[in-house]
Amino acid sequence: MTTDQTQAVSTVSETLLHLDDVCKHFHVRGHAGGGRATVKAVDGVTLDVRRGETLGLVGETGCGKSTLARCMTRLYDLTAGKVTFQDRDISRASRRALRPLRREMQMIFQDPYGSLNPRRRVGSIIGDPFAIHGIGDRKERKDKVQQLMQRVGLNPEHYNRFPNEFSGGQRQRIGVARALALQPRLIVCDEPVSALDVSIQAQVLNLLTDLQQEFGLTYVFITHDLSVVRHVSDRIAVMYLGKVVEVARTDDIFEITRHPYTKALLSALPVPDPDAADSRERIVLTGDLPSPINPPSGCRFHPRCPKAQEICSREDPPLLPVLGDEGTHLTACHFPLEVGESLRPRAEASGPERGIPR
Amino acid sequence: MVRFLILRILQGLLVLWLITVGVFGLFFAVPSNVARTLAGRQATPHTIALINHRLGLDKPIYQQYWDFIKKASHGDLGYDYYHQLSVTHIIGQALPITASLALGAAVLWLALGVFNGVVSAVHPRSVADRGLTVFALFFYSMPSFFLGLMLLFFLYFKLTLAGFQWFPAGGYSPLAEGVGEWARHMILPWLTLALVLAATYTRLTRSSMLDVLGEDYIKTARSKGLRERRVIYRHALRSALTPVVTQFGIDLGQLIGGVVITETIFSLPGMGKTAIDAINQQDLPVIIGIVLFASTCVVVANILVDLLYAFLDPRVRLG
Amino acid sequence: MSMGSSDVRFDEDVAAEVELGAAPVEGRSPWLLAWQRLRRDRVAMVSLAVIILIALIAIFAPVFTHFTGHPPNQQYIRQGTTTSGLPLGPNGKFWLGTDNLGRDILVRIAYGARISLAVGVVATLLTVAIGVVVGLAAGFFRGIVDTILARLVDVVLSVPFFLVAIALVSIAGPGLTMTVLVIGFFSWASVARIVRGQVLSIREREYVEAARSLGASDLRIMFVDILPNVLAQVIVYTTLLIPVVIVTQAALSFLGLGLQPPTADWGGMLAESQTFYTVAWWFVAFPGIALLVTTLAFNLFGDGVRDAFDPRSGR
Repeated sequence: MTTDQTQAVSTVSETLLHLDDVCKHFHVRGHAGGGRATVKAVDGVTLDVRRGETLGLVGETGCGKSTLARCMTRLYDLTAGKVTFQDRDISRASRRALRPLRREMQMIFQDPYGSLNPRRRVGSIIGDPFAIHGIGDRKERKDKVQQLMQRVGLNPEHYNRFPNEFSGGQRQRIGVARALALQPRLIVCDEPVSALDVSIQAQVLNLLTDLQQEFGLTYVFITHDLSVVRHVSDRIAVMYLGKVVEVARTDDIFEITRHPYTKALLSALPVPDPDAADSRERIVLTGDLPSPINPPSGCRFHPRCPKAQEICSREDPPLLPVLGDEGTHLTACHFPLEVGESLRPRAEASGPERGIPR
Repeated sequence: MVRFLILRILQGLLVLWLITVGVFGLFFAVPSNVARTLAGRQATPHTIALINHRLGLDKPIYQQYWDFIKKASHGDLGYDYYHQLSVTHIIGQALPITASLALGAAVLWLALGVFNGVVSAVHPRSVADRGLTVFALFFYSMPSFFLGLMLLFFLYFKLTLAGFQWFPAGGYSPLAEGVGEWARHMILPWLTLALVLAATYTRLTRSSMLDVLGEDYIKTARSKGLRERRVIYRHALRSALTPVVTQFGIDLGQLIGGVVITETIFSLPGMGKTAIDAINQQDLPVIIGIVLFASTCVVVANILVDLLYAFLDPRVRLG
Repeated sequence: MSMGSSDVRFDEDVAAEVELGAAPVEGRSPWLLAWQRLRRDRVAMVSLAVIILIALIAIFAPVFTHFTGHPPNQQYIRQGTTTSGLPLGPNGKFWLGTDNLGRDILVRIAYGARISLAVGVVATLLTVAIGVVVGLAAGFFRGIVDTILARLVDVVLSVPFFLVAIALVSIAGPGLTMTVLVIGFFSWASVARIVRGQVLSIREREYVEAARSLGASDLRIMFVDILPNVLAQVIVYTTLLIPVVIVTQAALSFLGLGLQPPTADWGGMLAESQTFYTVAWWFVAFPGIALLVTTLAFNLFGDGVRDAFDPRSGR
């Protein structure tokens, strides 16, 4: 889905969802390391989701993207910060107050085998949203469900089948149908294709983009797979250890990479041409992802960052445009990269990054 | 670890306290006629009231409860008016018998049960396995009192008739008077108790072992070339035994009450039989004392099992 | 790669269609699958037949009286006992012999089946119902509710069963109601513990999250999403609980804490037979065998049910 088509679908680019310094901390009752601990899964995220766009959210496992997704749809209560949906502040809303809103924002989950109740028929699962919100009688619901099934590419006659009779890709489509039922404005997709075979991934992704065009949907697309996110997103936000480190239009992220972490992520993308693969700069980050219980001081990336200097361990860099970027491109870094700048530290020679020595 | 232990003990104390309250409350919902019986048939209400007062039975409930707790914490569990003995003394006499029965049977059923279970699991669907499974199912479904009566019939009655006076019909011979006699009296009770439980443990061990043997790390051990016997005994058995240990702890704790049937059939004056007799005589102090003592055993057993579990499986300690 | 049109059938759908092919459009529910597996299990089916037979015997116990002419509590001192007042062995008049009071053992066993099955099934169902509700509440709501309920369950499970049964009976007197109450009092806790464990793990599953994100109420999630997935385990446990309850009831009667004479009850009959076992083996054997067969049948059937819900190779 290209940027042009996005512009064609949305009239005015208004903000559908606004996150303002959102924090989500979990208390862990562990004896390991002694006593209580706080997992700072999301620690101060400010983000916009614009109507009609697809915002990609990427990061390593454990960076907090799934938690953020659930904060967005208020499946979790916020520890701090504000969430505004369609200009309404829903940060402190009770479950009862949120209920009508649930028609407007939905989620698609990652695990095709876990996200459907194995003991319920598929028609009933897809029809759940109607039943919960008291829409239509049984006949009407059945018709709508079958229409939905048809729309996502399932045979409407399989209305009475159970999830275990469907393949992984088909199950995800059931999940899509369920999310689509009430015609929401926003759908948050939490790694919707990560558990599928690559060939099936393409089909489901295409379905999602078709639906977006047809129904004017807005997506937040969460994944750890960069090649996928490039294909579907208008904008991309990169997360690291509970914070957003860079957010920009898709092309800008790939061509004008500012944050060292983003650069490292991109360098890990497989490239089909072996020669090009060998010749490009491959960055291997040292160390593991630190624990979100005890994030590093200042900029969280500084222990692994080849460009880190003293200030990085003291001050957490703010998320703003750098190096003359336009307002849509925000970076949180004290020493953002110039275009084409190498990420290797000065003392680095060839070494293990180059793979098998010739 | 220490913190875990302290927490567990506190929990156990809480449970015990709740039990004492419950037991006490229940019993004092019913008026006791101890005084009346002691006073004799001709007694006037005045005499009865006097005896009540002397025994402290006319004080308000919470007062009596408090007195009871105070005494109990010093080991004085009350007085049995019918037999003119302290409850502690009665329990002291009954305990060795129950202990002999319980512990002897425990050794038997553990050995039998675990061994059979392992053999079954290691040779699944073989003749031995099928035979043992049938055996286990049969005894698992057998009510222990029926088994006891059958053992008496065949191994005492028929055998004695045939001239082999191997086993007595019941009664207890203290250990102090000779191990041989003691064992001879205990064998049938041991079998009655142990066979049923052995069947349970055979089933438990078998299914647990089968689970463990299917695990990947066992395949790894085998592919490393370890001898099969070593694989089974050193690696598999250790993990497979965890649920068995848990169950054993629970059973041991509950055993104090569970021996009631066996003691009744074989006329062994242990805790169970004493409790039954106390019911027939409406002897409240004895009943309360035994119930409390047994509950304490159960709570202690549970704590020990939890400790052992925490020791075996570090994940438990770390919450 | 975009396929565009919405009516296009994806490749894998076509393949799946071919696979499922002639399968009926009606879905094959997990319940149906389990039932089919159970039906194929011959041992389980035979046990079921035995259980039904015992149930029939219980229901039609009066038929036994009708045919033999002997009511269950009727004492036949002259024809039913020896000259020294001892029980008579199986003969033409009394097919399974008599007890020490000259009563027809065959008829008493038939009537005893009523007690065993009634208590076994009713008491079990009642306690399971309570246990499920408690377990659901504790596992789902967690927090304070869970803490209190879980502690309660712990206390109940820490109590030595027989001794407390003895204690309770000493207060309130023996009898059928007492038996059911006592057994019920202890059984619900183990069910609750199991259900709670299940609920705790199920509530973390994604489909529960999905239901929440759709705006489903707590009650709906509990009964539509969680309960059906707990039910399988509950059913297995219930089937295996019944024989335990039956034996426990008989044991209580055996100790004189349950039903009292002259009620015909297998446990009570075994108790009475103790004094006469050397001279009247039938008095011990037949009630005992009745108990054994009943328990065995339920256990075998229960094993079959468990395997039907959770088939594992190599078992």
